[in-house]
Amino acid sequence: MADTTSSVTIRFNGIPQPWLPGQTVEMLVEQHGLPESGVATAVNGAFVARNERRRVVVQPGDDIATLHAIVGG
Amino acid sequence: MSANIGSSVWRAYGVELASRFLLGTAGYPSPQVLCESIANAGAEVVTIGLKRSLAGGAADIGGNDFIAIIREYCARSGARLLPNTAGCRTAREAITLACMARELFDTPWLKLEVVGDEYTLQPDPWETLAAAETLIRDGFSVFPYCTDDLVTCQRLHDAGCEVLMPWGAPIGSGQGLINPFALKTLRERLPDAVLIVDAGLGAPSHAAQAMELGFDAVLLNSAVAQAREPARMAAAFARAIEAGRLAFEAGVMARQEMAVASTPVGGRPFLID
Repeated sequence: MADTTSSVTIRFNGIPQPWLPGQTVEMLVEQHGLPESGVATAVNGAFVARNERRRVVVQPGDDIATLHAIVGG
Repeated sequence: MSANIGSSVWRAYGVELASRFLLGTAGYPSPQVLCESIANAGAEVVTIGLKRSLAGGAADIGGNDFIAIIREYCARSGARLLPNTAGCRTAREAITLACMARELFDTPWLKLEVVGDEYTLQPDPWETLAAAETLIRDGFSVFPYCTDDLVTCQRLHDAGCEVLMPWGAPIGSGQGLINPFALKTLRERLPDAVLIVDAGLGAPSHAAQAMELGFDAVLLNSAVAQAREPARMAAAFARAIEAGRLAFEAGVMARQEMAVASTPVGGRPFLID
C-alpha cells in the first residue's frame, strides 16, 4: 500500500510534521524558535542561504535540516 | 625567548600567522579549560564543527557555552575559525556542509573532511578531491584532511589546495607519525604547499618530529583535550612545536651510520698499554 502520509508531511530535522501550502523555510525556522543567524539551512541536502529562506517554499515530502555550531577537531 | 631566534611566520591562503599550532575544540571538560588551552597554545586558528539540530533544539543552540567562549576568544584575540565537515561521507554532503559553514561562521576557510572508512576514519581521496575541486571554484580556502599518500596530495594541490593536511595517524589514536618516510617525501615533493600534520598525534614529541620534518604547522585536538591537565598540555605542545620548527630552520645534523668522535683529541692521549 502506498504511503499516503508522505504526500502531506515534511520532515523538519528528522521529525515529520504536517505540510502547509505556502510554508517557507524562513517560517519553519521561526516556528521552531531557532535563531535566524544561529542556524544554517538545507532542503533535501541542498544548501538554502539565509537570504533565500523566505523565497524557498517547502513541498510535500521535503526534508528540511538546520545545522548549528558545535565544538570540533 | 629572544624575539630574534623565534621561528618565522607562515601564511595560509595569504593570511600571515605566527603560531604554528592549530587547535581543535572538542572534548574539553569545561569551556574555561578550553579557553585556557587555546590561550596556552597561542593558537591563532581553532577548528569548529556543525551539527544537525535536534527537534525543539533551540535551547541547545542558544545554550552552548563552548561555542560562546570560542567566539568570544576569537573576537578578543583575532584568532580565526576553521570549520570542518566532520561526518561527511560524500563530496555532495561536504559541499552542502561547507556552504552552511561559510554562512554560519562567515569565513571561506574550510577543513574539508570526507571519511571513506568507518573503522580507521581514513579520508576518501576520490570524494575529497571531487569536493575540493568544486569548493575551490566556489571561492573556498580549502584545508583538506587527507592521508600521507603523495599522489593524492599532489592532485589536491593541483586542484588549488594551497594547504594540505595529511594525517600523522588515524584520528584520535595518539600513535604519532606512523609513516615519517611518507611525510618527509611530501615535504620534498611539494615544496610550495603549506603542509600541516592533522590527526593522530599523542605527545608533544610527535609534534616536534613533524616540525623537524619541515611541516609548516600542526593541528591536533584529542592529545590536549584528553590530557589530565589540558591547559598545561597545550603549553607543552606549543613549546614542542616551536622547538621543532626552530630545529628545522637551524638544520638538523645529518644522521651517521657509525660513531663520529666529537672531541678533536687527535688520537690517544697516552700510549700506555
